[in-house]
Amino acid sequence: MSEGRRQKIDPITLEVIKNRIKCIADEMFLIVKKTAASPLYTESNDYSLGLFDGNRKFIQLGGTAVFHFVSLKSIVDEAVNLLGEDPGIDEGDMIMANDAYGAGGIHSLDLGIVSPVFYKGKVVAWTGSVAQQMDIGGMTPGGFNLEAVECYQEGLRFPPMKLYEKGKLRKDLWNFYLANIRLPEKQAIDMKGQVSANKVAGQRVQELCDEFGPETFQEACDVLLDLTETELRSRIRALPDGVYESVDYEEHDGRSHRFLKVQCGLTVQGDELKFDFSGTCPQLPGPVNLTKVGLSAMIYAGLIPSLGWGIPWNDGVTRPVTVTAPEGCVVNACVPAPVSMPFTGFRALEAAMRCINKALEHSDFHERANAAWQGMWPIIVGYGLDQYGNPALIPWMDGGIGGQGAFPGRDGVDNSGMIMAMNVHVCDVEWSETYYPFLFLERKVRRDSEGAGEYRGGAGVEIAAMAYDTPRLDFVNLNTRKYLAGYTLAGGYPGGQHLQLLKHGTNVSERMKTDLPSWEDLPQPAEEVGTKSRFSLLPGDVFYYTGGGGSGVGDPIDREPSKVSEDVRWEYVSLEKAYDVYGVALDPDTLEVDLEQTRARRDEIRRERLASDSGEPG
Amino acid sequence: MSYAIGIDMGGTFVDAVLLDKVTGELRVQKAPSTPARPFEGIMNAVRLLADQMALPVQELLAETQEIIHGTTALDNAFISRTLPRVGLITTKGFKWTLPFMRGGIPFTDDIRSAQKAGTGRETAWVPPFLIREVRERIDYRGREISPLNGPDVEEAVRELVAQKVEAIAVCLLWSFKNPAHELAIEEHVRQHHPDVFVSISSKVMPVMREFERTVTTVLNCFLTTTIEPYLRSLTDELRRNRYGRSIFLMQSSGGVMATGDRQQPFVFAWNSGPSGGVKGAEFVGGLKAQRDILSLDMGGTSTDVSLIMDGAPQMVSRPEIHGYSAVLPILDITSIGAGGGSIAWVDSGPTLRVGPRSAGANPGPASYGLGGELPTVTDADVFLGYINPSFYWGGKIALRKDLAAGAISRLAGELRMDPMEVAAGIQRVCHSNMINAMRLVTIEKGYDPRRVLMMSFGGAGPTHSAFLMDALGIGQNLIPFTETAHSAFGFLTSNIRYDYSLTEPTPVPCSPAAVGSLFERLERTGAEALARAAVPPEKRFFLRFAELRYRGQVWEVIVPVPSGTLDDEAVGRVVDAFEARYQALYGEGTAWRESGIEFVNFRVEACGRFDRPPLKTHSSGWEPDARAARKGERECFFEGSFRTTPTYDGERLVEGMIFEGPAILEKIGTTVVIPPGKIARVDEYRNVLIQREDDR
Repeated sequence: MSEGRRQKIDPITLEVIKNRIKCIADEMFLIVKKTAASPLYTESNDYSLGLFDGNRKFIQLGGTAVFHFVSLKSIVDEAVNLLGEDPGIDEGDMIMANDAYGAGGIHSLDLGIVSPVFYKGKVVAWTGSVAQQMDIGGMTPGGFNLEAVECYQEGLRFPPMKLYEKGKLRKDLWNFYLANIRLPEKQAIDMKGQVSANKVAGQRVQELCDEFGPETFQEACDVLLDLTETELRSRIRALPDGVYESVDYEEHDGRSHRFLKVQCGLTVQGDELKFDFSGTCPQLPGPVNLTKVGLSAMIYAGLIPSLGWGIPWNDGVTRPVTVTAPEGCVVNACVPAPVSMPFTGFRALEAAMRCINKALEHSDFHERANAAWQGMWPIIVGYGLDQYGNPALIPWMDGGIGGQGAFPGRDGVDNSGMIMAMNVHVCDVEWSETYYPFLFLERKVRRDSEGAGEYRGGAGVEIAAMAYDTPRLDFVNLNTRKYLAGYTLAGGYPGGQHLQLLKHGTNVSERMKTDLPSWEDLPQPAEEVGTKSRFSLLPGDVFYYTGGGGSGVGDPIDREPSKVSEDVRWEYVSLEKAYDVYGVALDPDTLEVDLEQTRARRDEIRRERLASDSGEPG
Repeated sequence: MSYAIGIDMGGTFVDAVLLDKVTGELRVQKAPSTPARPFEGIMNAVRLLADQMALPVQELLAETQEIIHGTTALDNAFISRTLPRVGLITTKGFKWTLPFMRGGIPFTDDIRSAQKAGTGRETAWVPPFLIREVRERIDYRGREISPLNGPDVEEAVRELVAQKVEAIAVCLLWSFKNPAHELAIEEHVRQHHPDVFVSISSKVMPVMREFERTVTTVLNCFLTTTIEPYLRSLTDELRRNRYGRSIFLMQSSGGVMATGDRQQPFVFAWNSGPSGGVKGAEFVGGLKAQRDILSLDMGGTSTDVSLIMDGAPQMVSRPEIHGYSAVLPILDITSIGAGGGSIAWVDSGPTLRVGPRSAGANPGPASYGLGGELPTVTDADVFLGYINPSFYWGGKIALRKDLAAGAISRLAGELRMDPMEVAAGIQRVCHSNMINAMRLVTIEKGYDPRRVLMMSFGGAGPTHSAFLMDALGIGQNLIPFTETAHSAFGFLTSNIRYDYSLTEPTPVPCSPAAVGSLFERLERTGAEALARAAVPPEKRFFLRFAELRYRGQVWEVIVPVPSGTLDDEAVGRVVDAFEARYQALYGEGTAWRESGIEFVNFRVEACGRFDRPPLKTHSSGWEPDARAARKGERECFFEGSFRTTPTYDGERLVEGMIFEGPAILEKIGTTVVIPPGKIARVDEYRNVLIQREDDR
């Protein structure tokens, strides 16, 4: 730590440069969004970008997917490690990489393009962006490979490579890449956008250096990093020293349902945090492994929003933190473990969050302790022919708008997105039905999916749709959190779990000619779809899935009855749940609270709990 | 005699500007706003104009051809969270489209205070219990695949009416392709509940994406239920006073709409006040033969920045309104929380921050002496000597310099800096925020700011604008004579305008005749609307625009299209303009012709000109001496230290007066600061033009 460094830059110049840096990141974000072709960029905001200083320290994140922060960092560092000496880094280079084993994201689908910014012959900054691709080649359209036993089967893997060399596109590499992916036209447009963003941001940094000088720019970066570090350390000091432990389980190994243990131990010592994943199960020949880069990405995706309120999110956050995991375990997998569905990462994230929040709960910042958010990003990837007869690839991510976990004193936000990607967007139904051969039957709040509590979790979402104007669509389902729930605080209840269901052979098309049915209205039995599996939609089939709610804080029978009444009126909670779980009796017509019955029901709940107590201490 | 009156109703003042359509003379008056009974403040301002001209109100109004009104009326409803109660009807299964707001939560660095407007108890535009679903379904081709269920409609409408909604918005999936079901619901409401306003999305904004269409339709309900009642009382009151025509409403597009026949939804009038400022800037720039203008309107709480390039104000089509995305052609006005009342504070850094919180009018800046403890930009202006504490608003508000100094000293203590450094720092941070906004609308949109004339107005604009010139290489800063009622003036310079668009993806190369016929279709619709607004054919004109993209892309780039018959060459020039604009926006070498280019949206602005005389000039005929306006001198802070600076009476400006910086012009509504190295000249309209000394 650089406490001794004398701050030469004045608070006013610092503010001016800080705001300029933020403007640069905002501008990059918009360029990527507005020039792209894939819905992952244009609609879902599933990308991030950022600015590094001359020492390759992360200064400013743009975009919404916090977990890409580490991905970008790994690409910049590896670019210099692997290419810095030979052939060297030159002005105008655009370096691409997607290797989860060293320089990339959590899986090969995350492709980054980074670029050095030169000023008077010296590297003064780096810019870059990373985004999930629609396809990366390999055995399954869309890049999620259930059957893979080795990473070599998962499509292309690029260590840092120069896509542009000294400002000139390398046609050979470009052609090679486009020849190996399934949607070359769209993905080429996306990559062009990433290159533009880097170019423009580079120019902006040069203008900043013209104005303030490269030394002052670097000094401002140094100070911003120190400020973040100092503030984070002071927050860590407020956490009680000790070792906090938690265990979570992934529920599927790619072939069958089984529990894969992810164990996190957090040591809080003074102003430092050490996360260690000893005790985690070994890596396996299925696609759910996580690499070392992915593990860091996931930990910081939870840690930064949890402890970094109101401070710039930059590389300063990494200084007081170490992350370790035994080599060869499922969250620090080694080649050749396949990694296309690194769902153990969601579990590592939540295990770490649970430790952080246990510590927060017992600190002066206890109001910031946060129950679990929706525990993962449900992803359904479809492929087949679209309604116009062209090949379609469908990243269907509507389940992303699950609920936020509650805080002591505050409910979770309904349909908030996930902590590692808060500003996730769903495509409009009309947009989806234009570009994909789909007909949606519903997309709505999943009532009673909130984790009950004195402060309740945010509500989740449920979606039902069928294939439309196409003979058949095939899907890969990527889900988890079907059997186990997220963590809660102080006696709250967990949020709703995730379901993926299929009704075969309905006469839905015929039926809607007279009377539009909902998922519930269809009498056919609902079949469960495996949380990692393939399924198909044929005419008459309807698919349903959910995004889970957030978990609650505190005992639901302590919730203010008027708030429960409001939840019912706002249609997040049913009358039945209000009575059964919250112990609140409401007039079914006016939704007014019957205080006497409520008191009686809450007493009854207490007696029921006493009666069901096994006698074992908690 | 013959007059036109522009009336801008803001949160604190109603500004009224009268144009004598014979002499070209202008008169300006201000009356306090009366938010509870909006038409009263408006009538008061009109009375003040009549008094000024020593005319009875009836006589003035009998001779008035146009009253053009712009409003920020809905702002109060948003601020006080008293939005009108609106019900919404959607397709079964999709009632949550509006509350979801399409996504998670806006990106935040503080997850505990994160909010989502759509699900917030106080912020939701329509709570779920006022949203009803009906069974019906249209598919992506516009085919009815499930009929509209009549009993559902009856029940939904009955329940909403029972819930005492003031209006019902209807947005069904795919209604822009096939509006039959929406029309049927509209008809049902009109028949059974003629007193409830109903608005259907296929009429308000027939474009793809149900979320934005819903937002726009609900917003239309908000505006209609807010504006229509007071517009009715106002019309009655004006009629009683012998005004013979219907009122015109300013639109956020920068054009004016007629109000009589409901042909144009009121949603187009959303937040129309600020657009007047931009149109006024465009007009005054025109007097100077300037086609590239950056308008900067700095008031008490915020600064609005907007760009006019090559004579065309920049537009956006998908504005974000309190977190909700709408579809609405509006002037691209970037608003930042930097105004005279913006509060300076120290964050944990410590860095010095300015805004976005504002002290408002009460308690206001510390120097108001109303109990404000926190230093604001105005306090720094007083401390640094720019503002004369005994001539603020012409002396109507007495400022206390000691209180300004006290507040700044407390902040200086926190920062362990000298108060003078801190006061100068407040200016610098505030200016850098404004410069970032100016960069956003110029450099970041691919435009060179060195070409532009900066036009600054609003109460605080002229005090700060000349300090902003050098950072972006801006050579000229003009302070218009209507500086504190510039929006109301701008209404008078605007045309009648109706916007039309249609979506028809058309790959290039394409048939020029086919493209032309799409524009002609829109122009015919526009001509009918102009006819209904009584615009004679010789006063009509049509502007064409096309939105293009590279095939496979989702977002488009807009470019102008020539009028008349299109040939291959004309289409070719449009495509070239698209590629040039694309590269200006996203960087050299980013064009991607290999993937093909397509026209996506076709737009027409159907416009009608009002009769407007040339503005009256105030030529003096001789070269006057600035000393005639000299008031005195005081110590003002420039370039690191206090310097003795001459002050002048800004109400005694005559054409040809020249002021060398440093100098201060004290006008009633504002203070013009001319820093060292700058020189100002008064023109024949009494505008003040500030330039770099070495450019002269």
